[in-house]
Amino acid sequence: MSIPEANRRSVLAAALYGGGALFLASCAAAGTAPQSSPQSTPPAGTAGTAPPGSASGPAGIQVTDQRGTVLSFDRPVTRVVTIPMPAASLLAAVDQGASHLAGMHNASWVAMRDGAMGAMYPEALNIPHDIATTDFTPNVESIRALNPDVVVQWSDAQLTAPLEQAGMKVLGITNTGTQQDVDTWTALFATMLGRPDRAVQMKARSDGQQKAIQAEAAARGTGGPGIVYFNRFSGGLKVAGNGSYNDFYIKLIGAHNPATGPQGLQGKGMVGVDVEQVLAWDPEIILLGNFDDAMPADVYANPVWQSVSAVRSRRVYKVPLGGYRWDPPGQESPLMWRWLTDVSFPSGNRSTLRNETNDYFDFLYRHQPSAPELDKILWTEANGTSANYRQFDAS
Amino acid sequence: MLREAQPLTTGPPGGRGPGLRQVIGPCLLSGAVLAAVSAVAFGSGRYSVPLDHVVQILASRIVPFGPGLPAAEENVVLLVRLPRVLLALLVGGALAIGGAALQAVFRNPLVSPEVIGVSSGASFGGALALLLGLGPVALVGGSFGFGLLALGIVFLITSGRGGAHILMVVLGGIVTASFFSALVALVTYLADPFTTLPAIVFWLLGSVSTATWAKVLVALIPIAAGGVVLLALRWRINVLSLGDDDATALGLRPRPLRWAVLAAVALMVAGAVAVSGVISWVGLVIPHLARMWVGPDHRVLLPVSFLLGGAYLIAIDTIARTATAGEIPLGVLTALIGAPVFFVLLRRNRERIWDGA
Amino acid sequence: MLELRGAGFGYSPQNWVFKDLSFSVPPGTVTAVLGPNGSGKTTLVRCAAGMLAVQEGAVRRSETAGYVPQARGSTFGYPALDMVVMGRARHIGVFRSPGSRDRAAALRAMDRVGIAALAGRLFPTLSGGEQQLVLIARAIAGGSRLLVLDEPSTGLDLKNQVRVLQLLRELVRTGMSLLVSTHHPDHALFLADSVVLMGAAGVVTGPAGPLLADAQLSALYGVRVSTLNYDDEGTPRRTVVTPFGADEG
Repeated sequence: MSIPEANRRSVLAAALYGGGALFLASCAAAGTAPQSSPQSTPPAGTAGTAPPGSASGPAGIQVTDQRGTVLSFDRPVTRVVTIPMPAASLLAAVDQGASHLAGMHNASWVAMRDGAMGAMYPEALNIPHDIATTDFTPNVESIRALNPDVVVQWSDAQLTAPLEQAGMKVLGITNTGTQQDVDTWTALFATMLGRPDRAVQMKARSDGQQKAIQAEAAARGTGGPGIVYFNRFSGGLKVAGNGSYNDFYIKLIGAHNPATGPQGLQGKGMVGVDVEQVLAWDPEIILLGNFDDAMPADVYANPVWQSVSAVRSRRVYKVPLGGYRWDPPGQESPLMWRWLTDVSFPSGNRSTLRNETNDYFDFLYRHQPSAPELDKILWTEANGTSANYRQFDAS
Repeated sequence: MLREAQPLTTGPPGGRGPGLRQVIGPCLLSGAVLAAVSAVAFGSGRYSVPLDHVVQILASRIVPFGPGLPAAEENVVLLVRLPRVLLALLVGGALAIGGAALQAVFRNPLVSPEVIGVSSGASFGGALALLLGLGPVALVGGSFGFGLLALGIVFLITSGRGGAHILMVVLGGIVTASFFSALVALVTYLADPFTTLPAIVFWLLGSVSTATWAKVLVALIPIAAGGVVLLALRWRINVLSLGDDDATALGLRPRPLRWAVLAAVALMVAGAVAVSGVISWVGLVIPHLARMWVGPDHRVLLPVSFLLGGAYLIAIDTIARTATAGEIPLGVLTALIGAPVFFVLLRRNRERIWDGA
Repeated sequence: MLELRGAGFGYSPQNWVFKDLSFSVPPGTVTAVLGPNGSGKTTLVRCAAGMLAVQEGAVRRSETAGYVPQARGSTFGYPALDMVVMGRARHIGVFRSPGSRDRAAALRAMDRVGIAALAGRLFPTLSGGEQQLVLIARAIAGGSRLLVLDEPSTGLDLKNQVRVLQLLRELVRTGMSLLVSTHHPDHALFLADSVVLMGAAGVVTGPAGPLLADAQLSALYGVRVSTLNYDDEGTPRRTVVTPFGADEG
């Protein structure tokens, strides 16, 4: 290739690429969802830091989601579509009602239908819930048809981009499996709904509860039972390992988790284990999660588990299922901490859990569960044959 | 893959007569390997049981002796390890002997039990049962049923004039396997990602960690039935491995014979998948290793494949459950180990397999 | 003893491979089937052996025929003796394995064919000619006195061709009946008592001498074929030649 040709060729190429880039950039600028230029708001929130910037004033509400994107609303939102599974019930808790929920993920709907929420907000069961696939890919047209003010979605670009390209506002949230998530999401929802004080209230109560539980644990001193939480029990065993929320609250109440102790696992999160390993750990308490349908009776009847301490002393419990599962972090987590404390360190007296639950549900949902509803939440029948469960009975 | 591979001229040099001694010898040796591996398996585990206790607990099933041992140890040996070892033996043996028989029937050493579609059908049956939340009985029954159904579909595809030619059967199997794989993908797509999908993934990865005596019994029946049929036909399988033409010339009826072998293999594979999920590479690699040792005569190859396949899976499972505190899925390990071994085998036989058929 | 009467076979009504064909192969004789590629030689011999069913007429055999296919190698390396023992399949029950009597019969067959020394060698390691001999031994081991062979000398070098042909003549002398299809008119000339010529114009059967002549062979193969008489150190012999450059200028 002679030099004059190279020059001509490269000039042409540069013009093409340059022009193309300019063209694409202008398209991008014109096509993205309306976002106001960043004003004097606090720095964009990343997962785990202080609540993302939000400002509300006569000019409207601004919220910075967990991606750092700023969303502006003229008025508090009234039509919210949620895709992440825990978001629907959290929104109902923040809003003390389901009236502003315009659409939710099918899995959230099923959880509502089967759990306490369906009883508390029967009208919520009529909310459209066919809006996304099981892996959270949104069906843009169905969501568009619901005319939402905002769509709550996981922060993955693949999941948010289709919605934003259709002109909708997307609040991106991320999941770290810690208490922080609940606080952050609560603040975001509360601000959007125009009730920023609500977030402050909820966090204050939750923090207060956490301190109380910690004080109790400290007062008890050392030596709590070994508790193993089973995310899966029926088809293969999976236990809560390092960094999991279950590990967090087991330690919070002053007990220990053999799965993360000296003979523990390497992995993080939920880890598959061999049954012999659990037998070697010999937990004093076994918790069965709400992600499969194993019940304490199944464990008691299984000959392989006969020699385990938890089975011999009949301390196998199914984790309660309230407005949402109590296993992962959620708005009802303070109740989980109370439940686990009373199960692990029974005082012999009646537990305050029922009253606390009534109180907390009233605070969260403006609704007090009836006694049968509470029994359903606490798995009273399934846990009935386990030790020290009478303390949770209705008086 | 479907054209005739170069002959596998492996096997003891100087040839062998088909004497009984030549059959018994390798079988005894394979049995000894199996026994040794099983012994190690019984003595290993994350819950430590002293070896003499293990021996006592096992022997006491036949003749009780010695002081009473802690119930926990007895539980571990009799209810955890023993069924698990037996299940691994049955599943590994079934897959290996099935693979060996199929390689003969299809006259191609690159064939494995997956090729007739039974594994895919059975995995779909199990996944469907999990999706519908039907419980463990439906899991086993569903996967067994769909496994056999897959073979029935292959039969339908290939029935009629000019049907059960070897190539047609392989194509029918591939089509059926692909169909059921697509259905499995659909099931995973529809499954609840928090509750059902992890169960399906666990099932698809294959494991004997949920072994119980009930499962051992459930697996024993079809595997024993299929195994007996295959062993009874072991010499006829030799003749069948020459090809339809030669087999017909020698007075056999290759089509019914082939279907009999396929049905027996389907029974064994469906039974194996029903209790342990999908475990691959055993049915492909073990027959090769066995053939390298004892030659292609199926009178020896079939029983030795079964014994070595069982020993292999017991060994892998023992590693899977003792290497770390967490458990490694069996299907993952067999693939991780099987693929490189197969690669080495291919390279060793490369001149023979690729040097023009 | 083999006899065809009015036999016909076709893959479709318009497409008959042969029709209304009658001939017989008495004990102690050889019948050769000749014809160009695609003429249906293999189909005919397979019908004769009973591997295909004729659609018209009848095929009568005094006993089951031993069929000898072309030696094609084998995917699996069985020892030659095991291959020959497989010829005993008709005598072995469905769920049984060969016994000492079967092995003895196989060894006798290999002896008769002259390859007893190859018993322990792996079949795929044998030469083409040796493999063909093993397959002949296999057919003999089955005990049949009627052999049907499909192009047994295809792909063999001259020495092996000689070996096979001489063996076949030996077998005939002991009273066996042979039906052989072949591409080599030369071989038919050496071996055959009768021939079956499958040409485009139809099938002609009859004694070998008159039919293995210039006119008939040229018409059969569609190319100029000549037969020559020559003197081989005092012994008169006859051979078939095809002048390959005949059509060139």
